[in-house]
Amino acid sequence: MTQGIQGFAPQKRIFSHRGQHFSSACLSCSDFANCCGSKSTAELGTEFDGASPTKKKGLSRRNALKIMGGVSAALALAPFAATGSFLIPTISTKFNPVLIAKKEDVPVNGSTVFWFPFTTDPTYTNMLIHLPPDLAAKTGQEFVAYNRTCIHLQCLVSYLSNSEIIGCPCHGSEYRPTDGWPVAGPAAQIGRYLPSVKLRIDGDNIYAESVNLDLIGYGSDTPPS
Amino acid sequence: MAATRPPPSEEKNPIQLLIDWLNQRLERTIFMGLKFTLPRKFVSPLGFLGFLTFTTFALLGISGALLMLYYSPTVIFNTATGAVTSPFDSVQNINNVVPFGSALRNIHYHASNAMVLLAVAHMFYQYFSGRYKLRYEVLWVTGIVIGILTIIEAYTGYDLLLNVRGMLAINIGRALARSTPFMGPEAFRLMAGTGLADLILRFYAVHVFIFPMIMILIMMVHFPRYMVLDIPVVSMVAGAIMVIGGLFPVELGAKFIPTAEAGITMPEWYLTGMYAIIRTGIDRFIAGAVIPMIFVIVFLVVPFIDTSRKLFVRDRPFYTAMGVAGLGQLALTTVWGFRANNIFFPLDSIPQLEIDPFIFFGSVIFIGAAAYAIVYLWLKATAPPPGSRPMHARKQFPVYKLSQNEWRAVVISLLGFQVLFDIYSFQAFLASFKNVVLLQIGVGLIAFGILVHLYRIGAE
Repeated sequence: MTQGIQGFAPQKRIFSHRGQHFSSACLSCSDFANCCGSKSTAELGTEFDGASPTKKKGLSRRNALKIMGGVSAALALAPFAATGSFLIPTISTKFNPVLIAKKEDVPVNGSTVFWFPFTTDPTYTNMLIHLPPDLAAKTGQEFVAYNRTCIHLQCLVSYLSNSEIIGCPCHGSEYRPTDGWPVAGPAAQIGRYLPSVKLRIDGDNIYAESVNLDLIGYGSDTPPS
Repeated sequence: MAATRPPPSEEKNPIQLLIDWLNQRLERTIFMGLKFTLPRKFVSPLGFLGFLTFTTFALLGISGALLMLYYSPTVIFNTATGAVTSPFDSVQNINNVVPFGSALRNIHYHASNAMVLLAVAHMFYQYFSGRYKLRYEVLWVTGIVIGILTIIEAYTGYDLLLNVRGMLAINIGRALARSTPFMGPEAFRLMAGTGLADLILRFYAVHVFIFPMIMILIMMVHFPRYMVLDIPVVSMVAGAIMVIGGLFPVELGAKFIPTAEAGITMPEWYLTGMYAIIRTGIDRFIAGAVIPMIFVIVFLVVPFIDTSRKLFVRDRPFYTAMGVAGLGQLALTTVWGFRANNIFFPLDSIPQLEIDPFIFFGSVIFIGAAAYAIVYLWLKATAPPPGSRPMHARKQFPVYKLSQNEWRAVVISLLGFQVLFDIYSFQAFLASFKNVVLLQIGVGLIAFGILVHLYRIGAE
């Protein structure tokens, strides 16, 4: 025994617990539960003082139970994630065609406003434009229809016959009536097409067939087909 | 006579006995976990701005609950006639027909402004006095969260009118939600539902129940254990809100009708800063969400970066200068939201809405840097020499002691004043001078506050 050379070092004691031997230094060890101790008392006296614990490989039973509890709680709460969908209402994406106007109701270079597909929000208002001959020749269509919600900050745009342009009253954005591309104002910086309403012309009657609801007030990356 | 009186310690009237009895029973409740201090003399309200914020919150709860009795969130568009059934109609009814309705609406509106203002003042006072670090971290973070909820609460509130101004705010909010780079359509539907009727109903639920409940839950953590209940100042703040409501009654604005021409409207003053950033035309998600979030996150992480033990303003030149810089930037952006593309001109035409981003962000950065440099250099230049212990002695204000007669005269005249004003306000109520009634109730509350203050300094 080399301890207590000058009489200052404390006396190291050895005690037994469950068939293992521990140094008294183990009492100040923070990880006592994982200390495996020593098989013989002789080891403790010489090289191994028992104060440096060797961790058992793998999980202790206590920690395994803790993890199990955590996993169980997570599994119990997981189904509630689906209730998030409660907050987002489902909205129909299939609409019945609606008769919006007769051809003779909309004069050349004129427009009319119609609600489609719902009547619950002004962002569901659209405009049917009877293109003037030069623009109609360019697109190959006499009638076009766009959603009126400006892609900038959701004000309602209108067709301005005098300047043959679609204009927003709030911040001065302007769109081409031929394809709904923003040509001026803050919407031009965003650069997305005004969502178009798909039309079906049946003789004299004009029907609105569909519009992509997710693009309302946001804009479309593709031109109207 | 004096000899026959029992000693004062044994003399307890039934009211005192009842209060003692109640106090002993309340010790079993959570209520006694909070320690309320009723100051015996004037203390600076800067120290309990948080409690004043809570007072306005309570005022908002009461006035809001009463307004719910007449408010209707129905939105119906009649596509055949173009008529709109709108919550605006019910608010108009509250304002013009319901007895005392306009007063309650005014209290609710001005208290909401006062709450935002007091919350911001509270935050900056706590910041400059160093009460955000060293065990204040949880109070600080919960405070910031309540502050953000307060602003969203105010935003949902003024949209519920569905006037032109509210519709502008709704449209900007919807456009921001939709422009989220991921889950944009879902975020939009979460906020807007399937239409404006859904949106108003959702905002209504959030405004009157969901957010206030969350705020109360967080307040339970945010409340410090020791609170100052200064009745004179509390009643004077409530009175001031009503006086302002009487002098500057809130307008109804124009009803939102889809076919009507939209003019230039501005959001409430606590959102004009964000509005100015959006007006620069940079990407909406960055303007409306990322930049405000950066500002919030900087404030959130301050206590985890600044861990020094120095608390006094002058001892922390870096953080003090940063605070002043942030305050300056907040003020500049807020003012600019009301102004034209050139901040020195008023906003009166649509082309003036667009602000040049280089000028805008340049001036915001400049004012922040200038404020930082000036404050930092000034604090460094005037710092006491190292080694000397600076004394942060409190200023002693000279106190004028009222004589017995003066005191009596003041109290009696205040009481008489209150009686007169009560009669006067009742008369005004009968004559349906709504704003006068509100003004006089406010003046009465202020008089009550002064009286309680006189009582406590007289009782010393």
